[in-house]
Amino acid sequence: MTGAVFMHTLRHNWRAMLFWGSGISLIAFLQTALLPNVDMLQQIANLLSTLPPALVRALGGGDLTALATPEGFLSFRYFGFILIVFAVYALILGLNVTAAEEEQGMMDVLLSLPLARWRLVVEKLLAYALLIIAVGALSFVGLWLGVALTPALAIDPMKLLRGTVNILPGALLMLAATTLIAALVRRRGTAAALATIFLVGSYFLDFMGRAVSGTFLNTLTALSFFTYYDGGNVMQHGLVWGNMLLLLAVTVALAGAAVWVFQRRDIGV
Amino acid sequence: MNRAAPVIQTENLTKVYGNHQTPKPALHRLNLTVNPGEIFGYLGPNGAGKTTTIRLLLDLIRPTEGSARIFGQDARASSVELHRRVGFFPGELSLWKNLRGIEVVNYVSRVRRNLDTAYARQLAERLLLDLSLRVRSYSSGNRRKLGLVIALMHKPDLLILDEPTNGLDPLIQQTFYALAREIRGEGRTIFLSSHILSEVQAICDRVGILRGGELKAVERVDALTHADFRWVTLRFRESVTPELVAGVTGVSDVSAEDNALRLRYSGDFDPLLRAISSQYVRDIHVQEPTLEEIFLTFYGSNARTQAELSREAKS
Repeated sequence: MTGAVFMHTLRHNWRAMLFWGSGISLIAFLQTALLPNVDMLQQIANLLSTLPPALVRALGGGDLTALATPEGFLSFRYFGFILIVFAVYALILGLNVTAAEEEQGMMDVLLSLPLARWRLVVEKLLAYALLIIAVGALSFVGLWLGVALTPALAIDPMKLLRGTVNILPGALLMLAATTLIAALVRRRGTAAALATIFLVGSYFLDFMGRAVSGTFLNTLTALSFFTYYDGGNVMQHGLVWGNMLLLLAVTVALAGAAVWVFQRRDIGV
Repeated sequence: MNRAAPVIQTENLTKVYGNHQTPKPALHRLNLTVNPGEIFGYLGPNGAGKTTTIRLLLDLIRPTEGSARIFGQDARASSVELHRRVGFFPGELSLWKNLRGIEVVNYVSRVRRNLDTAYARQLAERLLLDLSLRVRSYSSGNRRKLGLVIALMHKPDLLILDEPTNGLDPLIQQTFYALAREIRGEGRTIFLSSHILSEVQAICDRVGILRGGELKAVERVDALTHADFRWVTLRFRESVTPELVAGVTGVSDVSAEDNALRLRYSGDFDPLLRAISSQYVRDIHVQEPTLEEIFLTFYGSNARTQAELSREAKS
């Protein structure tokens, strides 16, 4: 494996990665540094207990007792929604695996070189996966710094790390899903629209489904990758390895399908 | 490699775009052979199927029917291996705009696992291209020069060039022609698509003429040149009639308009100039014939395609 495409992809995307990583890291830092003291957390938990339970569940706050703890509150205020931001970053990267160069016409030059199509997709996917992990690492640094600078908070850094690691399978799944969509439809704009529908649809399916337990809609949440993320509980209960492995397995399947599709079809002009 | 074996050989190569309900035929049963060490001109108007052929040869698109072989290997099954020996210049060249010229060269050389870029720099110097600039700051002509550099930089055994001189200034066109002759001199092969007859005449050994997705003819360039003619427009100070050039050898299809005569002319210009010497000539405009006109001149209006001839032979 030459790794030329892998290295090129890293070399020309690390600045954007730093931008995304710094932004998410700042959000993480602010969420921890501005975390209220434990007494206030209890008041917030009391306030939340007055809301309809379905709404609290939909917002990712299942356990109101846990919300009164720093870990529970951080899950609610940060881990509950941050996968969406990671997924948007992954979506943008996924469009760059094949669609951007194909639409702009560079793909003809690239594939006229001694470079197999599968290798192009795999090297780019690996590079983008690494960039997503790097953004995750930066976000962890932001969380850790926030906690370190707030002595009133005593959150085990390992819990922060677990929460961060929990984000990655969902983000990688979004990268692979967007790559497959782009391989199928070729046009960047169309792929972006469909991938956005997939992302927003998955989020709302999970959001709405959780609010109405015991219904058919609740059953359908199994189709949403957000369901297997469970950012609201990871700090308290740890990683759910089964869910993570499931997301990673689907990611590999989607990436494989993208390679299969791209390998077999005409390159667009 | 067996030097006598064809570099490119296609067999009934066919490409139909669209679906079964609305098929859009782009190339129909192409049978073509390009020999080692020749510059083969692939001539045809826009939309004739030239780029489709090239993209099939490079495995960028897949044939609906038929096959293509390069250096004796299947263009699809052995594409990666073949691409090590092929240099490609696309007609609609697009490169990474945020990279510098040298970064594009380095990227391509890394993918090719050929890290020696000295020849690429030499080529850039010959083409008067500054590799230190970003692609986005290049003019379209300079982008095409960079495209030529990355097509030629690994000294490929086969160069596939899709209208390479479009947008190049005449001086650089001449440099390109010199490079093409050098490549042929080294025994390497060039497959060059063009819709410019003069370009093909300048450097090619043989020409394939494509029209409507069908290969109409394959000829040596000197044979095409033999059938050559020009459209000449003569502008006079006074009004003239076609009788002025009547009887001049090589003149035909004369029409008069205002103070001008437009005529089709073949042969040396001296007889024509002598015939009009009694008039005050304001301007002479000489225009090359279109491909269609050359084709009709060469084959007549009843020209049949290779496919038609093949069908007739079988029946």
